[in-house]
Amino acid sequence: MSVIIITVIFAAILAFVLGIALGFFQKKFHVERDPKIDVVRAALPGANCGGCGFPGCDAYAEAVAMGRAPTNKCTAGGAATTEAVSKIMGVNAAAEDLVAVLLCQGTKEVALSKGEYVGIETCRAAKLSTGSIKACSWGCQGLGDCVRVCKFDALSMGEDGLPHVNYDNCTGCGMCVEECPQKLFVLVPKSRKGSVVLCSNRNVIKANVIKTCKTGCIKCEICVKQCPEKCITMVNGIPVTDYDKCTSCGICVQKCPTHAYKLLEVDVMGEKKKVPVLTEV
Amino acid sequence: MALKTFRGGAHPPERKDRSSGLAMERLRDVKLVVVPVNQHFGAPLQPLVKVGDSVKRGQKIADADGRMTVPVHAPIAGVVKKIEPRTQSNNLDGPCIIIEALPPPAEGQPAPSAEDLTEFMPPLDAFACTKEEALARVRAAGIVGMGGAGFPAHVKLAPSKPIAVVIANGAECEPFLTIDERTMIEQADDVVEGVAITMKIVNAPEGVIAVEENKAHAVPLLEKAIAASPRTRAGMKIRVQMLKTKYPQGGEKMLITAITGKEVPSGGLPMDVGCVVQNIGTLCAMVDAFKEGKPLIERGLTISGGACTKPANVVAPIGTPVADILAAGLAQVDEEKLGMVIYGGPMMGVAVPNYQIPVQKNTSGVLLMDIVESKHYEEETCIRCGRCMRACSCRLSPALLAVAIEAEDYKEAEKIGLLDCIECGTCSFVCPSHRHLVQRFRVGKQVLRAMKQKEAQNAR
Repeated sequence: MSVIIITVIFAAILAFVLGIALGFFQKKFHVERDPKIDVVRAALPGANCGGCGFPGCDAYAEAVAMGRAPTNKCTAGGAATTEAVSKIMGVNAAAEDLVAVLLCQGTKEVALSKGEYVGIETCRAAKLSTGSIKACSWGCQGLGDCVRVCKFDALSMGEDGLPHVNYDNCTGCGMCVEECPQKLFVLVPKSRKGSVVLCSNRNVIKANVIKTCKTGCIKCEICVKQCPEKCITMVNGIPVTDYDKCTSCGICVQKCPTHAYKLLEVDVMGEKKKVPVLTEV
Repeated sequence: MALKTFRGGAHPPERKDRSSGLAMERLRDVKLVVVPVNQHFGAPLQPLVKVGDSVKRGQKIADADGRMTVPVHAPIAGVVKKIEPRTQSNNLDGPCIIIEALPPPAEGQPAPSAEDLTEFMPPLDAFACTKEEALARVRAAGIVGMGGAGFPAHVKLAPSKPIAVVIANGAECEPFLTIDERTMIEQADDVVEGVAITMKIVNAPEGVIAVEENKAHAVPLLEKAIAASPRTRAGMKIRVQMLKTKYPQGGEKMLITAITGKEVPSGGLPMDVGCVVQNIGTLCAMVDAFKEGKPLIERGLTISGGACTKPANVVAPIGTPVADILAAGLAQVDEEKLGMVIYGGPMMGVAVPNYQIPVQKNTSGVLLMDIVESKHYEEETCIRCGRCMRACSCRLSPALLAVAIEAEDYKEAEKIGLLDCIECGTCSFVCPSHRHLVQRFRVGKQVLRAMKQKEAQNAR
């Protein structure tokens, strides 16, 4: 019994002494830390996705609080987070929810393969060894590097050999944009309306595009000529829509002979495409 | 003669017997060439001709400023038909100049003379001119390393350190390929002359022609040529060194280790140990460039492989689609058996979708492999047997490198020597689990380089 009492007394004295010591050292070795860091950190979603370009939310919060980073970099949190962080920092930042759009429709059926690819099953490795698995040098490799980096379960590999974006889950963090070796993803505002060409083939020779893909942009420029708003221009071999002028009339979508043109709000983000999803990538 | 070699390596089946006895045949009357604009390791070139221009044989058709650039010349006389992107032997689309040969003259018209159709540079005596003149000539002739890498020769020949040995790389360790062997047999004088010119340019006291043991029959011919050469009579020291037959004996670093016993330091160049290594084909191209003023517009290559029913050693203009060489009957292929087409050797070459792709300055062979030879095995997990470590010619640990790269720990991979890997493929060849090791290293190197670039940008 006495052993227990002695132990309890001893432990209590030890705890008391160490507590004093801890309190003393906390004061003695105190590191000045901007209280803003914690406030900003609290406003961030805490997914540590890295979409802002910093290693995790802590690092980004510190960078913002120190004024080294803009307040609108947290794409995972979206407009709400940007607003909150901007309010803490006392700055104005344009907040817009972004989503990723894949600029390729080269499914297994429509895009020709160069040959059988045998090797490491990543897009990066495939591109390095073969130039491109598909006959089109610009097309999607279909091995799912983007699916693997997506932290928000917004990308899945379809049975058609292309990744599909779930626009409910996509936060526009930009990890897939960064990862894709073909640079096929672009970030667009979720609210954007208008037409977009879902092809990245910059081969200027029509015959070469037709040979490789049935839904490739063949540079016929019908869209440019037919657009009533004159809002389409060819940039680097690909038609680009001016969204300030586009009225979503859909004429370019109807006229496009290879159906490369689509309407963002209807064909890309609107309709839930029913594509069987591969369980494993 | 004692056989020298390096540590590590492997012994893939040689299969050289199929074409080693066949004399080089010249492909004549080429109708069309597809000349890739960028055929060297360095900055991209600009085409100097337009569609519709007529060009002479040997005329410069693409060039650019810059130290790491080498011009490209018209391999045949004709008219520029198109300039458009086409698939090159590295599987990437790149700009190509397509030249169609002139049609045969009409009845009664005299055929244009060979001089009218040719535009070579004036001959230059490599032993009388200055070093600068010689280097300018090597560049103007468009000479790159013809063993495979396509490194500009004039850069290699201007080392910033004193050179003790010039090594002529006649190891030709890749299976199937026999073009260097045939060149050494048929043009032994040119090989010796090429070594002498290189020695003159880099001011080296010694020249060594390295030959693997399986090409021993070329050695007496080379020794005869050395004895007869006016250069050796004038006091230049050139000798033949026989090496053990082993892959990758023809790797620059392995060759230097075998011959001099020195090791090229990590991240270093052959000049750091006083060596310059030149491929046999490059040496002959240099001799042509000085003697005849002829730029690099044609090269020898081996066409072989299991599906090739008639293998051949061919000298073809740069840019000839390989299909045309087959159509001309110099070599034949059994389409039924064809499983894979490889440009280059079977160990380091590139598998391409078809044989329409043109011959390039660095195409040492085209292999038409049959279905059995092109069989792929399922990749399995590493069983830690350590065979790759024993075989690695750079004395790296491929298994550990692969683990680091799979874990995306590129810094660790760099620490254990990723950038020293020469991608010879020995580790993948010996791996009992058929792991895609070299492909991993290539991905790793690419990512590492991108990371470093990004860091450098951020630091700025």
